[in-house]
Amino acid sequence: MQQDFRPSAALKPLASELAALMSKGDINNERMKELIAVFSETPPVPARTPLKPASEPAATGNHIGIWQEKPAADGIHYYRDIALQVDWSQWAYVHHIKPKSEKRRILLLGESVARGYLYDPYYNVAIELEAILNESAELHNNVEVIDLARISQTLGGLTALVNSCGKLEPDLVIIFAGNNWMQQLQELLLSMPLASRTEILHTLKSKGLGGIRELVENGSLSKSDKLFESIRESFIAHQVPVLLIVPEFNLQDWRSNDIENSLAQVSGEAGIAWLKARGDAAQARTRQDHEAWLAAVSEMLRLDPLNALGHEWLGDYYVATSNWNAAREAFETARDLVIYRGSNFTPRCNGFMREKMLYAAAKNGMQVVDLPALFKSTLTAGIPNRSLFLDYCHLSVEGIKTAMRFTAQKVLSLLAGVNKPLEAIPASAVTPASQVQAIAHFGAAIHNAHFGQSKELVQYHCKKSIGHSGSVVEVIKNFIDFSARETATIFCSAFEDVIVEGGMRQYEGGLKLAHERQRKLLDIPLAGILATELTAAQPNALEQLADLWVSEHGVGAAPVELTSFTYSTNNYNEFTMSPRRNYYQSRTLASTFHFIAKNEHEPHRCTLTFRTPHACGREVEIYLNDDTTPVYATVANSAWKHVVFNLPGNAVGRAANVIKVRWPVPFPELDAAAAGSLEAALSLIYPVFGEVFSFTVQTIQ
Amino acid sequence: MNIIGVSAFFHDAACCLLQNGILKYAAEEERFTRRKADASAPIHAMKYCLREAGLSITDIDCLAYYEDPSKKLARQIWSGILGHPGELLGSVSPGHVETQIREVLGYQGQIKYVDHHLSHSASSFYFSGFRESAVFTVDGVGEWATTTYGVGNAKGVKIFEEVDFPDSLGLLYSTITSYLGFGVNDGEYKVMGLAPYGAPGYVKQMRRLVQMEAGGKYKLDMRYFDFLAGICMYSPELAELFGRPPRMEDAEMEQFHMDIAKSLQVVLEEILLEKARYLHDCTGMENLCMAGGVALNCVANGKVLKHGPFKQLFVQPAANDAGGCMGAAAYAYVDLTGESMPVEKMKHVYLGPAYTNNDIKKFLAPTNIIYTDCTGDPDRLCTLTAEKIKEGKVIGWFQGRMEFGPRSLGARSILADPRHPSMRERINAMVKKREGFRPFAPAVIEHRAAEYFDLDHPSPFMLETCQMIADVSLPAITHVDGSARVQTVNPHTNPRFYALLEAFDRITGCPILLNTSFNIKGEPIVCNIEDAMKCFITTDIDCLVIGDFIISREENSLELLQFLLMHERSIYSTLNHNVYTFV
Ligand SMILES: [Fe+2]
Repeated sequence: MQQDFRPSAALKPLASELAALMSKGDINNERMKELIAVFSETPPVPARTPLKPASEPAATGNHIGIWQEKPAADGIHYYRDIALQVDWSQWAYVHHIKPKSEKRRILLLGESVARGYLYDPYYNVAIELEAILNESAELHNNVEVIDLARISQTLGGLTALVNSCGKLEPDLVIIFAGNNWMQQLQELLLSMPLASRTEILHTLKSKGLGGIRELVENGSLSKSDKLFESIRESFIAHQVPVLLIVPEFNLQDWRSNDIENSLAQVSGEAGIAWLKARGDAAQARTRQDHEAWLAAVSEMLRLDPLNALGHEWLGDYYVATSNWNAAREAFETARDLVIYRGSNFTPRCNGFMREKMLYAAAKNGMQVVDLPALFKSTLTAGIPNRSLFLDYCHLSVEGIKTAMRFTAQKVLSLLAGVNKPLEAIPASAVTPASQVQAIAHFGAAIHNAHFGQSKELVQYHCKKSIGHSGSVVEVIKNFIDFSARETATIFCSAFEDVIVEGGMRQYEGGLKLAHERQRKLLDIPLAGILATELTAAQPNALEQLADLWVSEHGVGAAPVELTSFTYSTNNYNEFTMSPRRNYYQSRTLASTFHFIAKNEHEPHRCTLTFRTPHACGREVEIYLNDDTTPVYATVANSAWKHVVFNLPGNAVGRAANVIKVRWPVPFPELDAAAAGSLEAALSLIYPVFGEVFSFTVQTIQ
Repeated sequence: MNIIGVSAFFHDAACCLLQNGILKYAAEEERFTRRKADASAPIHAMKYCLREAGLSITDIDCLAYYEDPSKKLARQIWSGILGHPGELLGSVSPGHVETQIREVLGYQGQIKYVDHHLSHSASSFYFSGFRESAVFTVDGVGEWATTTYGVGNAKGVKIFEEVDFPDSLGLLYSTITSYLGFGVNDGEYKVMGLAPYGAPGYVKQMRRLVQMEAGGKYKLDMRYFDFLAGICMYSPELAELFGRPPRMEDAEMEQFHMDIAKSLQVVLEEILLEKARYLHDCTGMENLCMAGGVALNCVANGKVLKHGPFKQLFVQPAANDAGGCMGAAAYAYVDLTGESMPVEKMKHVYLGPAYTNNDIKKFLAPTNIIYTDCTGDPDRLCTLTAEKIKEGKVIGWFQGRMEFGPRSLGARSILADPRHPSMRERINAMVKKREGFRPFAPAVIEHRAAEYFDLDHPSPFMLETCQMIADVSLPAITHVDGSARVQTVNPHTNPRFYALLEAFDRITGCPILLNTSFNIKGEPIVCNIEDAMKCFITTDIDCLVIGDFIISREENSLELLQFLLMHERSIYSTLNHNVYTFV
């Protein structure tokens, strides 16, 4: 230790010399290596303060989830803890859990899919299962299902719950989870030291996306081992049977979004060829030319086997040709290829996760309801779609009923010792009110739209919603109103109305309708679809929407920034760079912006500051409300370029207008991206097509 | 010539735009991101500057950065970073700053790196209005320097002597701040506020922490400090020296803690005064410019001016690192053009975003909020507001362009009646949720200030304290020692605030208002309409006066909104304030 508790002053000039050398960046400099050695060998001034042990996470002690223990003469009661009120909406709407009675007690743990997301609290998985079992002759009215499922439940949260819920004295524990476990991958990637990230980069380059499968299995899934250990210790060791439900995915109808299926890993000439194949495939499909269709899709897959789109389209081809097994396989591959998508990760339980769950269950003596296998063998075509799912993984009423019949079959065997064929186990007589179903489908429409699903699918849920109950119309009107406002949703009276009337309680207490600070969507396509569906009840719905847009967002003489969140996206699919960039980045072939014109045929002026880091000297084209003829084109460069151009009046419509910037295919130099950062690695999978520093529109004076 | 100034990656990131030598726009990044003292690349602040100026990034001639990354790296290497575990080293990349400027800010043009203390110096001298001046900067640390002595004149700003890390008055102050249980870079102000309650019983021990040396030099006795190791600011020996263990964050505030604060303040004042005399001896100049975080210690500033050799003092209102961006930009301007900066004293700090009545009306239109519309009748607005204040109401005051720098000065302020005996406790309990010992600051009509305070010159930036001399009782704004931290208000720089003070004077005979920053505990000062509404609704502020509109809590039922906002709140996080991170 230095005498005066500071490094030697003699080292100062050496530190300066080393810093100067490091700043020059010449890593082979001999003098630099020498100096690094000097400083690496000089021990730092040692800390004299003992490191405080990291504080343990708040002990759950007398809690099970949000419920707090209250002992009484007749046993331990559990009540929701008012201090945790902020979290109540994540859990079952149950205030009081009584001590165990003579009834057989089943605990249901899991994620949002087990919550009965979008139907809860009026109808959910626990209600259905309990009803089926109580309607059965064997367990007649002698079962209670305690609902401990939580929205956005994590692996860690689930493990903690497994460790604490034994006090409820279950006869059986059901765990319906796995969709959220892939989140661990994201956390893992972000917490990695730089060196490991660099390794990922090399793996990606050499083996492609599939190469990091191993990492996922060994790294992120190792956390699930802890869960299975806890399950064994808490229940299996005490002869309490545990039933694991492996989730299924909406294979046929949930599609990768435009970032996920953008030109992944192919660029330059191969990228151009892939785009051509994609165009050919779309055309052949329209013509129903099966031979050309298959050829074009095969070409897409040959050029970029890691792109989910090729597999989805292959699945579509097999569906069209009734080759169900092949279709299922193609859709499953597409599902599994999407393993990272920036900030919004659509939960899913992929193939290797399922294998791991089945293996761990068998090893630990757990029973399994393997939904993928069961759907495959019992559905007509073996491929689940929108009739079973409201979105990617959340089940519809039909989906819940089907899944719970499979589950009841196992429960009857475990608790009553009877093995009944599925046909002998009917769904329960409980059916959610039509109003509840209407809201669920409305919520699904919003959810699907906010994750960038197709207009056709969003429309399907809107129609279903209004078809179930006309009472949803008032809620939809309020939604259209507050979505169109510039004011943050949480302050809007139309939003307050929805909350006060409880109309959207199924949508995470209605709070899901609000948004993060300065991240409000204008929801142009969704509002348009909703207003169109309303026209039967309200003929001028579309005009009213247009008027509201114009009064709230109409462009005037002051420039409006189109790269703002409001005008640059209609969904929350976003490739998040950390830290966030000061400019808009496009990782897709075209960037779509919206603006609201006050008058039809009014010409507007635009300013655009943009660049294309990987496609110098190629053309960028601007399209207005049309995909065929550009209104402006200019050569792009890797340096910012500032241009001013006009939008011709004849192409401008009143209210919503779409401006598309079509980027040239990038030719990224792969080594340039090898900076070792996670972002650089991800940029290899999702290359930047173009960047916009500013894009404004205003009327011409 | 358009120059962007940037401070970032340590504390208080900020950005400003200097056009032809005139400071046009400046803002701290925290106001936009709502993360207190946000140090990340100031993307929002920069966008704000460009948008307001109608400039594209291609119009920027130079980006001036407030530090020299290579020199800073040298200090970090010397401090032992290479001997630390790899993770820490990995985050110290020599190219980090440039990468951030290029990749995150997206700036492709010329970059000028201006030394940290040169930036502080320039931020003070070039905005002081002095033709020549001595320049004194004191902070925690920049690159190597922690204290510098310099001069500013027609030829520019030059530093002729410096004290280097780890000897640092800023770090001394932060260390004691931490020992007293307050957050580093956040609690220093509280320690200053605590001092008047104490007696200087620990001056002797305090002097052992820092030895005075010849010239401008001084030395910390590192036996008592542990910040080099990066875990805790102080070593166990410090607690031994004072004979008491460190105070924990929520522990009771005892006389001992106040005595420590007082002793620290006394010793700091002694040192600053001695070094200011030295600087005067070296330069022979009448004027003094100060900047750096320690220059925010307005009590010490007052002493330096009063008991020191200088006739005039200018302290940069954004004396902290946020203000470094202004200095860097000004320094780059002089360097690039060969011209001198306009000799003009900075008149105000209203350099941030403003919102129009139309913006506010549009925000309120789709809500259920009931408000009084005083559009076009500012007299009525001020009279109504003054009456409410007289009734004992607490006002959220949101007017015009946001302040740059750490103080609320009548653009984003909470205002109340300073005569009210229980007002201090009330505001502390309902908004600030802070230690009740500190009084708030008074804002006073400029030409009436001398009637109440021992003050013979304007004090527009709340950067000095003075004694209350009038025989009136203003308990909420007067310290236990009879001092107050005054902001004087004139009709030219903030006409509306001035009009309100006049209206209050008209109906009460008191030209003074209690003024504190408009924010929720732990959050930055409000920036936009939405922030103001959220702060108003989730605290118990009685009334929000925003632009030409008055929103009263008693006319609205805000319980539902309060509940909804409570759910939303939890997503914001704040920095770790326990220790300086030397990376
Ligand atoms: Fe500083």
